[in-house]
Amino acid sequence: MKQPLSHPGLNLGSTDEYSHDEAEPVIFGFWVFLMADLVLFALLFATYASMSVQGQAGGPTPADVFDLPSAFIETMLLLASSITFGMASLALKYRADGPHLVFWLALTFLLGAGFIGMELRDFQTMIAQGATPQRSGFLSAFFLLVATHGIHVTAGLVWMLVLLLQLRVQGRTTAVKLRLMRLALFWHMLDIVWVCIFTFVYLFGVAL
Amino acid sequence: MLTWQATAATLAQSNNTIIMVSMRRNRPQPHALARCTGALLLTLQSICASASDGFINPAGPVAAALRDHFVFIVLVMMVVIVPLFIALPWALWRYRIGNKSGNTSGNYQPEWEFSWSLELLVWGLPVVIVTILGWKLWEQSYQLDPYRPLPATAAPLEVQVISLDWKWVFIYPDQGIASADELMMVTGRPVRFRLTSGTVMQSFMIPRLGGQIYTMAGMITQLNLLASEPGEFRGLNTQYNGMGFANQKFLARAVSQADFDAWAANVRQSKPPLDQAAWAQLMTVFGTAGPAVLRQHCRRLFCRLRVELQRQSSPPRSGRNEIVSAEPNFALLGKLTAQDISFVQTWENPVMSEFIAASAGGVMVIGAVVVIALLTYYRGWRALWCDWLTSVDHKKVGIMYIVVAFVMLSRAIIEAVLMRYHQSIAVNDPGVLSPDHFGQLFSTHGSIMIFFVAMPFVSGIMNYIMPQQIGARDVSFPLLNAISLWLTAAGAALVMISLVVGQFSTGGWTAYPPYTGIEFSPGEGVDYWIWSISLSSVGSTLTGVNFATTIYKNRAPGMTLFRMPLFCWTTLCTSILMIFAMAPLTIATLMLALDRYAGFHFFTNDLGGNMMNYANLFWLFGHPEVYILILPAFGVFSEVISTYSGKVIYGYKSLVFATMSIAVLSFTVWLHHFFTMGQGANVNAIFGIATMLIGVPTGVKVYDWLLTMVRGRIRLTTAMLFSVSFMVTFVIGGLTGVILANPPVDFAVHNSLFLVAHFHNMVIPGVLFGMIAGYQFWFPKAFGFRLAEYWGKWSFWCWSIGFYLTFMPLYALGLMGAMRRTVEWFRPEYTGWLQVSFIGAMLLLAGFTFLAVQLVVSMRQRDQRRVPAGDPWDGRSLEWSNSAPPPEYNFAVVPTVFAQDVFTRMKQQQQAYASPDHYEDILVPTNSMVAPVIGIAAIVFGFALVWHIWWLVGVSFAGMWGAVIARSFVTETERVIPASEVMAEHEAWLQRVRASAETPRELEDTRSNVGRAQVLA
Repeated sequence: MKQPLSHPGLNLGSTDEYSHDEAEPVIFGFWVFLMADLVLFALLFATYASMSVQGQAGGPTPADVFDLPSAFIETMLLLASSITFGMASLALKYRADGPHLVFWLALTFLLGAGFIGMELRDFQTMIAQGATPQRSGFLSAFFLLVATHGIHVTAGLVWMLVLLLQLRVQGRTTAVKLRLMRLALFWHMLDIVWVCIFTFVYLFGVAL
Repeated sequence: MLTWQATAATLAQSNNTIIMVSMRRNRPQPHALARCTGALLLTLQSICASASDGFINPAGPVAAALRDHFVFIVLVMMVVIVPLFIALPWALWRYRIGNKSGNTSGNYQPEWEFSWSLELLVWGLPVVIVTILGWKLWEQSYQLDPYRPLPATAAPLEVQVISLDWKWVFIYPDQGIASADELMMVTGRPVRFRLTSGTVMQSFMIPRLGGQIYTMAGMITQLNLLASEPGEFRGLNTQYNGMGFANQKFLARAVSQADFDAWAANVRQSKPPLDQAAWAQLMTVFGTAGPAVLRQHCRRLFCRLRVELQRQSSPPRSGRNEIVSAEPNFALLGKLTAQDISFVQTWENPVMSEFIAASAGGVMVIGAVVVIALLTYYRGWRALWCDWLTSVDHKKVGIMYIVVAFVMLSRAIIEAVLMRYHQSIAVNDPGVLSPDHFGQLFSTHGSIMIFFVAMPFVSGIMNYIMPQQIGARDVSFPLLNAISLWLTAAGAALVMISLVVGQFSTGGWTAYPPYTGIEFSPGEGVDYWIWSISLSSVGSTLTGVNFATTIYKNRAPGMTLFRMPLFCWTTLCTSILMIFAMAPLTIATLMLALDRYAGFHFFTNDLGGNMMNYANLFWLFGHPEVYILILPAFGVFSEVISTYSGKVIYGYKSLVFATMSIAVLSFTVWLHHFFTMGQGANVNAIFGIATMLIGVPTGVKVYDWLLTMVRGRIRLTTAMLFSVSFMVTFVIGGLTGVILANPPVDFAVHNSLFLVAHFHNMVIPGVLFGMIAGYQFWFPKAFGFRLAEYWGKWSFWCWSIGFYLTFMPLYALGLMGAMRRTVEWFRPEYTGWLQVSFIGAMLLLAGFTFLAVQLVVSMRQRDQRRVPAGDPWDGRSLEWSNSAPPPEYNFAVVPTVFAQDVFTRMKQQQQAYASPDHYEDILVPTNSMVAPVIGIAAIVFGFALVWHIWWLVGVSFAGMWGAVIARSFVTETERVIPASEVMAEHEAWLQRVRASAETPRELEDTRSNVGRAQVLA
């Protein structure tokens, strides 16, 4: 029997009706939380927009310090991790057992960790060039925006580890399933935020 | 607070040195005619002393236009206000419950809920008024734009203004001269000011000539003024900028062109140059310069200052406000030393101000010790921990929120009285408080009142009531709810700790940088502010998420959105505002913290920082915050007025739409908090009109409440008295709000006591009265017994009269040019007003004390006041349908809702107190120590950050998140209450209710009221 959608995004629907019913307030509440989190990012973008040009203070410009190829690879890593998380979600819904879920989650973790690693390397290069957040308002805004995203991704990675552990200890209980669904939403949101960062910070910064 | 004396010494020293550079005071001799006019003015001033020094006694065309505009607004607004003032007493008298003749002749119509013709009037009238005022606002914004050159025959005189630490420097580029703390103008000739700052943001104003404008480092603002009569006019800084603020004044002289030329020639020939050395002196030595004149040496000083500040990195200016401990940092305790304990400071520096600070710290410590001793004596620890601190029940969480609010209110109200006392004696007198201590007091008072009184009170009442009103057993995320409480409490605890350990910020509740940046406030005070506010703002965001989800997803069957009580609507709007509006605050405090801790440049003067971003971010939170606080109070008033009028709420849908409109509009007006920051007239006008628009739905609400009373049977209980007083008082606040929404008028009264009076006029009736009314109204529900009306009414009269006595004088003082946050006055005519205001503050304190008396008396008489049946006021919504206090699970059986005001309908249809068909097991969340663990870790986290104790920062951060992760491994988070237990409890209660007598409304406040209301057919 086909269940009506109870919240936006992937619904567990007919494959696990109990969890599907439990999901409604929890997933809805998480959407609301994501909205509050997105306001945070929106303000960071607004701050960056106002400071990236006005706040250079005679220091380096975006074109001087951004490594576009590296940012492009990071983008690809994060986009790929969204696909693999999508596969994990499908495994969560349609494959009651089997290694698929853990496999896709582990792959997502690796891609995310790769993203963080490359980002840290980028930061290191910039700091070595003297482009520290203390140098100018522009760099302060840049580091806060990009690092806030990076901290979110790191939190997502920690969360993923905890859930992998819970999958092992507790199995696919309703609570763990609902957490995985929320982590999926969180992960995809971070992907969208990164697309905006790549576009407005990196591409605009170097191209314009 | 050692620092005050040290800086006083610097002040005296600086006076000497600067006067040495500038040789001697140079007073030009004014014309005989000018002298006569001056004398006449002086006489006039002493006759009508109250009007002496503000735009209401104008000396130039700008101020005169401002005054006319001001009067115009007040007159137009009377069209809305006067009818209310006439109709409200009439309605109260005509429809009072004791009016037997009125009741028998069919005037009581409890179902009268709407009338199209009245509603059109209620919406139409404010729309017309706002249209007229908006059009006028638009026109005046352009006419009186400070950037607009004034129409005059003479070419304007160019003056460049640089604000420095507690002095003003004026440069006359065309004359090649400069002066400090003395401004020379030509009568009848416009002056074009270009302004910047060499230090923190300040605000330049000559009250009798016109409005003010901010001066900001790295930016240039403009102002055009004209003195149409000769004379001396007071000029000042209106923006608090540290210890020398009260003394930072200058004299503006308007003289004839000939006198001006003679003065300029004299200065050029005989005065010392404003060279590098003199400039360095002005820049770095804190204090007033004393009137001084100089030959201008470097022609590009003004422009260079602007550019240089932005490009170079500036070193910390320690000693400007406070002395930073020079001792080495011990890694174990970070910056913390014994000298930071307030008692040690007092021991070392025994002056009055220090004694007051130490006593405050002492009271806090003694209070904590007494509470601990009592808990131990009565063996209360276990009960406290098991029944309260670890509880996730929304009702207990709500009560704990309100306890936090009351504790913090007691501190903030005492601070208010102390400040009013200080100001009332500080006319040409240093008073009892040092400038630094005074700065801390107004900062803690504001921060506590907003974040730790109003917010927890509002959250507490929403917590307690909303789930019961929508027929839910708890909020959607009970543990998250407890965590929100604990984060708020952690913030409050940090503010309390700052009483004993270290100092608090002196940057006000808004903490504007660059003043609060590390360069100008190097101590720990601002850090206390940052972390206490950050913790509570995260808590509020989570509360918003939780409540919105609860209202959308947890309503009882049949409870459609448009059957919800209005309080739920306002809770929903507030939650939505919290979700969107708390993030800007979190981000602003985070950026300020990064500036201070890691040397970032978001809001610094140097290296590309821009404090205007802070102003925008802060008020992007700050204005919605006002409605986060006021909307729930509106909800309370709706419930209280409807219940105590014995009548359905009038214009329910109209009120819902008005609430929603307010919530949306609240995001479109933030810029009105800084009209004076130099944006163009069109931007200001748009935000001014948006601000006025809020007056429309608010006015509709007030009239709809009035119409709710009409055709009712009104009982003037304490809660109702607070509501009525709110309606009257709030409308006056609305009037001054519309006045302030006009950018030109705001230029004149921004930062003045007029503004202080205005926002207290909104927040005291609009939030505090609402919360007290809600407390009186729902107390019997929460604790099972009624509060003593006698003491409640005493409290009411003290609050109401106290409010008027305290704040009406502040309106007058503001119009007379008195600025907020001033530690010492120099105008004797302020004295009387300030003394009245102090008496009012004492009355407010008495009102608070009577609330405490009421609580104690009621507790002692609780056996005669019990209302176990749960419905003492003939309530209308679901929270009155269960017992008082309610069971843990709220409803034995989740009710099915079939109408608005469903409990009234149930009573009318004899369905209330009927036994349900069958009972089911109920799942309730188990207690959890996660929330207290997070809360305590958060206190430690904040404290460690304030004192740079890095290892502890790491440990406490790990503790907070460790608790969250550990919790996720717990699987038993709910426990079952078996159906048999629920049935036994509920049936026993129903038996008791059926056996109790029905109380008519006239006997509400007597012993016969056990919570079962008499139902009128």
